[in-house]
Amino acid sequence: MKPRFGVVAVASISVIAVAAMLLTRPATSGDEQETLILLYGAGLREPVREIIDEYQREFPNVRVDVIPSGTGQLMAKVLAGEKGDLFLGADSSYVDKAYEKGAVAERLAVARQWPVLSVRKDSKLSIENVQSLLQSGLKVGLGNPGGPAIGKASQGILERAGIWKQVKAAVENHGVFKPTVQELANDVKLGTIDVAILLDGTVAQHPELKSIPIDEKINEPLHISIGVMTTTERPSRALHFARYLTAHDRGLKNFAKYQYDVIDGDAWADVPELSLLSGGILRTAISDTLDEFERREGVEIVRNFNGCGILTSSLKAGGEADAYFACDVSFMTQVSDLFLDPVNVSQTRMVIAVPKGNPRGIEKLSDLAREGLKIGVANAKQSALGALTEQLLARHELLDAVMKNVRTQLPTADVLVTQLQGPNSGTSLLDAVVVYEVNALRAPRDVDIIYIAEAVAPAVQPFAVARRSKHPHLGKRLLDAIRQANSKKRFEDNGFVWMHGGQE
Amino acid sequence: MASNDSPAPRHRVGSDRWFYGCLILLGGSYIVLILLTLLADGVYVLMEIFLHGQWPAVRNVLVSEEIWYATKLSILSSTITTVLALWVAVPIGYLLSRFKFPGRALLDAILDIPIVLPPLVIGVSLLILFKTGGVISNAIAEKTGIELSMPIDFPYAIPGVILAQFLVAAAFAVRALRLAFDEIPFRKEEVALTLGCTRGQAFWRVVLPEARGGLLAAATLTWARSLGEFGPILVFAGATPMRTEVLPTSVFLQFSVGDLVGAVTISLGMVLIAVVVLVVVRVFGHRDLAGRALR
Repeated sequence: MKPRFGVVAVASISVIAVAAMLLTRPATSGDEQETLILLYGAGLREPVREIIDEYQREFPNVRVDVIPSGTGQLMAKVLAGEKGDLFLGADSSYVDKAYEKGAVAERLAVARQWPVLSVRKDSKLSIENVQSLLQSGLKVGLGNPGGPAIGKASQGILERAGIWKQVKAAVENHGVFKPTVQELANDVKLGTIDVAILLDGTVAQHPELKSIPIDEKINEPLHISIGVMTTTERPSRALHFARYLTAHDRGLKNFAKYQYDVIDGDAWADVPELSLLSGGILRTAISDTLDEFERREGVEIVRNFNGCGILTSSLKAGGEADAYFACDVSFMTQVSDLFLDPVNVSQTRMVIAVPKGNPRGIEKLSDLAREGLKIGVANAKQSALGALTEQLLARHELLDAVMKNVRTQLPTADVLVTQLQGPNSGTSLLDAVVVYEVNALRAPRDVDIIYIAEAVAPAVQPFAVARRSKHPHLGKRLLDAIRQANSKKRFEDNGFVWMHGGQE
Repeated sequence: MASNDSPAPRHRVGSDRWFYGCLILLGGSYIVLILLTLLADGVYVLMEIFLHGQWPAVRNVLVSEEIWYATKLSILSSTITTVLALWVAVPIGYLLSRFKFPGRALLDAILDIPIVLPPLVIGVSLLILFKTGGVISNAIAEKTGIELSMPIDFPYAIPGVILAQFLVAAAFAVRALRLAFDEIPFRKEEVALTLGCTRGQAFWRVVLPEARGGLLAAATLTWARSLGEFGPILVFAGATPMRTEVLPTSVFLQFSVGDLVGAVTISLGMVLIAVVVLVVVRVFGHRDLAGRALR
């Protein structure tokens, strides 16, 4: 039979088509299965395997596939845009770098681990400290400085001990550099090398090995952390797994089993509920961000917007909340024992708002004391704004004179602006109100703003997570989300001035 | 031919035993080395199973869905690559074998690049190619509004696996086919041409059937080469389980988490697959060739 072009072409195409068909994955029957891809530092093998097993048992419709390697190599992959969902690094510096380069969106701390010297349990060698690595004829194994996290860490330790060059030369002569800590552990186990610098958690995974601690003066712990990659197509599932891995009653138990020094993690909940107390002034600036956070994290935020005086009193009375976004630092300080490290997010000035066209010709603070004016202020006990207004007036010795003009005292400034707008346009019930600029900016058609020339401290809005929250790390991620660029824009669109977020 | 006409030597001085002995000793040492490595793999796994109770580790590999997927992907992608590679290697091999044209030496050198370059470099270059391509097409889209997009994804996807295999394996196919075409006397084609064939007809009816053995050899070489390809795939297509993980990647992944037993088990599996496929191809190929010779 002589070949014909047509026959050969058709045959070729059929072979490719059949192979391609076999390669396209058959749709899983029944429940649709979600797949996560986890890139993890190879040294964390045992706890990671156990956690995945338990997670898949608890959530059988999810599959977690893994790519283990040296953390340095994984970071290179993540930075190169490799598709994946989660990056669990043996040291946070790698995950942080991926975060700075925009390849990781969220970071969650997991545990600490310490570099140690390791030999076989039946070893007769006398290894006491890193200086022992210089014994002649000793076969030493180290992680590649560019590969696993232990590689970089080992170099740091030996440099601090002042013997990096010598040890490096010894390793190059009759030792070995390896790309993952597990391969090093294997080498020690098999006896191809005598001693290696490993991580305590990895040594605990190999019953044949023992560890010898390294002097803390030259040693530093590695902080294991997990990041959600920006290439993920299922962020809430990825975060779900990341929360599982970092929950003190789930994944962290497995890490603790292998002697990792685990963080004080969140409590596990399939859909955690985060209760947030927030000053009413912040509502429009944060609502969209809260919605987005809920969708991305797969959590629920129970929101309680109110005057901060009311919120603070309820907290003092034993009310529970996971996080508090206060209208002013003065309210946060009253309950500072309940919260951890508040972060200042935004600020806004106090202004005088008057009906459009300023019919009563109000120009400065002292004008508010004029006979016959109808003034509205916020309640000093119930709100930050009220307290700040009272302080301001008192400082300028106007308190009594203005208070006799006050017709209404309300807990939230929004209502004051509404009253100023009046039931119909041009029928204001009040002549002036003292509110935040943010409040006044909300009704530009009905309201004019008079800036208060007297030097006055703006109200600063701090965010803090409750000490007793069951989900403090989730709360911190909410703060991170609030401090992102798109949230910043929402604050600025609402008239807030963005703060750098320095701690108080 | 001269050798056939010359009379057999009447007197043998000394024995050929030394000569054959050297052949066997030198060649045999290499064969023994190959067999020893395989044997060591096998013995290691057996020892781990029976002496160290490592059966669970071996079983994990055997029941692992990822490994089965990687096996399937390895076999099928190598097959696709082989078909594609032959389609480009036949014309190039034929051109290089039959024609003298300006730039032939350069073409020859270019074809050596995929063979000479370290596999990792090939992967990196592919990645860069697609990144630059993306940047350029974005720029075009911005300037003109014309969206130029690839109909299929290459980086970190299955087509990327095939492309990476193809880039390397096709170069080997070209080498093999060129040798095969070189062996077919030009005379046969000329006879066909004088009998009224066009060049195309002569190629299809005379050269290709003659080159059948060479095609088979090229296909086997390409297939085997693709099955073992690792470096460029790791860089360009990633090592995503159930997506772009091929068997060599599995070995690497098992090894890097310190699971030596798993890595060796998969390696043995690969040896098995390769041996089975190569033997089947040789047997069928030879039967086919033998059949043709009889006709």
